[in-house]
This record gives sequence, structure tokens and C-alpha cells, in this order.
Amino acid sequence: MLRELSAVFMAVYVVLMVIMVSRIYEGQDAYEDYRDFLKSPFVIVFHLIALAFALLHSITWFQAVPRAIRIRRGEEFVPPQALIGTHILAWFGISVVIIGIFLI
Amino acid sequence: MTTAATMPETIMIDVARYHPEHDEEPQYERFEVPYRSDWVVLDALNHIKDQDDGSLTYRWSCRMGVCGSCGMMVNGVPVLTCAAFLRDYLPGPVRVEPLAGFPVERDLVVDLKDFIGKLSAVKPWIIREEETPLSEGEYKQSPGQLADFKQFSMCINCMLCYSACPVYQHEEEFVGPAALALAQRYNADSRDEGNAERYPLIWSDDGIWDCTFVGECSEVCPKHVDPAGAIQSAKLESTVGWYTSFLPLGRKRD
Ligand code: SF4
Ligand code: FES
Repeated sequence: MLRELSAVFMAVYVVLMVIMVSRIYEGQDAYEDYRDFLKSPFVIVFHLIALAFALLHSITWFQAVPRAIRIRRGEEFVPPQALIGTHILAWFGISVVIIGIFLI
Repeated sequence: MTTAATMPETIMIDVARYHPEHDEEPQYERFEVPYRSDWVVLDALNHIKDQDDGSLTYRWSCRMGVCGSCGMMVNGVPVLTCAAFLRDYLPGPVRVEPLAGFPVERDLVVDLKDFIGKLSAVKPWIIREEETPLSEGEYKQSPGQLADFKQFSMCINCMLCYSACPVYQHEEEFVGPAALALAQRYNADSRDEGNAERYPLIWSDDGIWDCTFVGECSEVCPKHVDPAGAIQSAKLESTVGWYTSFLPLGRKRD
């Protein structure tokens, strides 16, 4: 249930993001105004909740991986934990690279 | 934990009754039945039919979780009533209704037509491009190849998964969990060559892509078929198939 609800927060987050892009397009003043709006406590709280839901969504997503991907070696299936672990590691790795690109 | 001293002597069962001849909609009727810790909901229904009202109508057969005919909603959850112990519903009352999402024929009996039609629509049999003559022996299969689909072959057609599925409750067209898991059972069978014949239906908008992976079907499945998992595997196959159809040697799109 919570997982389904997370979609609502993701959708609102994306809308805020799209508005930001259009403000940047409109020019510096519009963008500065929008940044002030983003700094308001209400919006910050929203982003914290959205972040929590994003994490919940991602983690439950990876937990679901073994049900979609069944890899058989001989007569045994690759254990679910191994599949989940590999995906979470890859997620972590890619996140580090992306954050790295933005920081450099 | 109910100890012998606190064990109730009777338990109330609220049964949904519907007689198409004179009822506009289902009504509830309350029955008091003896409480036994080893009784299941089906035993209570049998007691009512024996002692109180012989006209109570419901399906059952094996009484051991094999035939799949005794599925009903008990306190709002689809279960096999032969596997649902009264002791898990203490102190009662226990509400027994026909499986959700299906037209009711009478009392607790639902119409199976839609479900049976969907089962056969996925072509649940081994399809060969060319049959090998019997004289050449059986189609061989390794234990590993059997493992690929065994779980999906355990379905007993009890329809609990359809009653639990919020998508099916809203869209009757949805092929649904058990039928899609059955399609996957044959698609994953090394002896079968009929995947391409099943794809048009199971890859359609009424097939796997209607599923939003709520996962309730797998929660209620008494045979651990994991229809939700089967559908996600099929989605993966469908996605890979779609992308590779753009490659020069890939499967052509339909
Ligand atoms: S998949 Fe499970 S719940 Fe659905 S019909 Fe088969 S056995 Fe019943
Ligand atoms: S009576 Fe056969 S499954 Fe319950």
C-alpha cells in the first residue's frame, strides 16, 4: 500500500522539477523566486517525505527483483539475496558516480 | 491463545445468501454453530446445511486444499474455506461471502465462465512446431528444466488470486493472475514451442501490462504459485522481446 502511495509523492516531485526547468527558461528573476519558494519550510518537509518514499520505493523495487528475474544454475536458482544484493550494489555504485559528476 | 477453559461453545457465522428468484441483492443470515478448535469454516457451513438450512448452496469437494473449489471470502479475505480454521477467527462472528469480483449464481456459488474462458485463452497445452512421432519416444526434460516452471504448475484454479486482485475488480477484461501464471508455465516449459502464439494475448493491454504489481494475488495463493512473480517475469521477457525486435536478427514485432 505504502509502495503504491509513493508514486503520488514521486509525481509531485517531478512536477516541481518541471516547473523549475520552465522557471530557468523564463530567466533569472523567475528562477530566484522559485528558489525562495523551494526554501519554504513546507516545501522542505515535502521533499524530506518524498525522499523517504523514494528510498522505500527503490528498496522494495530491488526486493521484487528475484521474482521477475529467475536465474537457474543447474537445478538450483540463484538465491534471491544474491540478486537483491547485486542490484543494490549497482544502484549504490551508479549513485556515487552521478553524485561525483555533479560535484566535480 | 485460547485455553480450554475460555474456549467458546459456539461461534456466530454470518453467511451471505442470495436467491436470484426473489432477492434483488445478497442478504446476510446469522447462524450459531458449535465451536470446535479443529473445525474449519467449511465444517461450519456443512453443519449449517445439515442442521439449519439444507438450501444453503456452496461448492466444495476434497476438503484438503487440493480441488480448489471451496474458495470464499472469509472476513473479507479470499481463502480456501477447508483450510481456514475457526480458531483463527475467534471470537467471531465470521463473515462468509462468495468470492469477490465474480457474478453470484446463488448464495456462495459464483459464475466461473469468465475464469475458465481466460484459462483456455492462454493455450495451456504443449504446442510443438512439429509433433515428433510417438515411436521416437517422449520429450525429455532435465530436473533443472522442470524447475523452470514447476512452481507455476501448482495452481489448483481456486480463483482466490482474482478475488484479491484490485485490477481484476475494476477491469473484467484483465486476463488475470492464474491464467497469466499458467501461460508462463507453458512458455517456460522446455518441451513447448508455442510462446509466439501466446504472446499476442498475454502481451496485450488486457494481459501482463494491466498488472501494476500490487502482489495481493501471491499473498493469498494457497499453493505458492506466485502469480505476481510469473507476471513480472513475463513483463521482462516482453520488454526484452520488444527491444530486440529492433535488432536486425531480433524477433519481428507483431
Ligand atoms: S494462482 Fe494460486 S490463488 Fe490463483 S487460482 Fe492458482 S492456486 Fe488459486
Ligand atoms: S474443498 Fe477442495 S480445496 Fe477446499
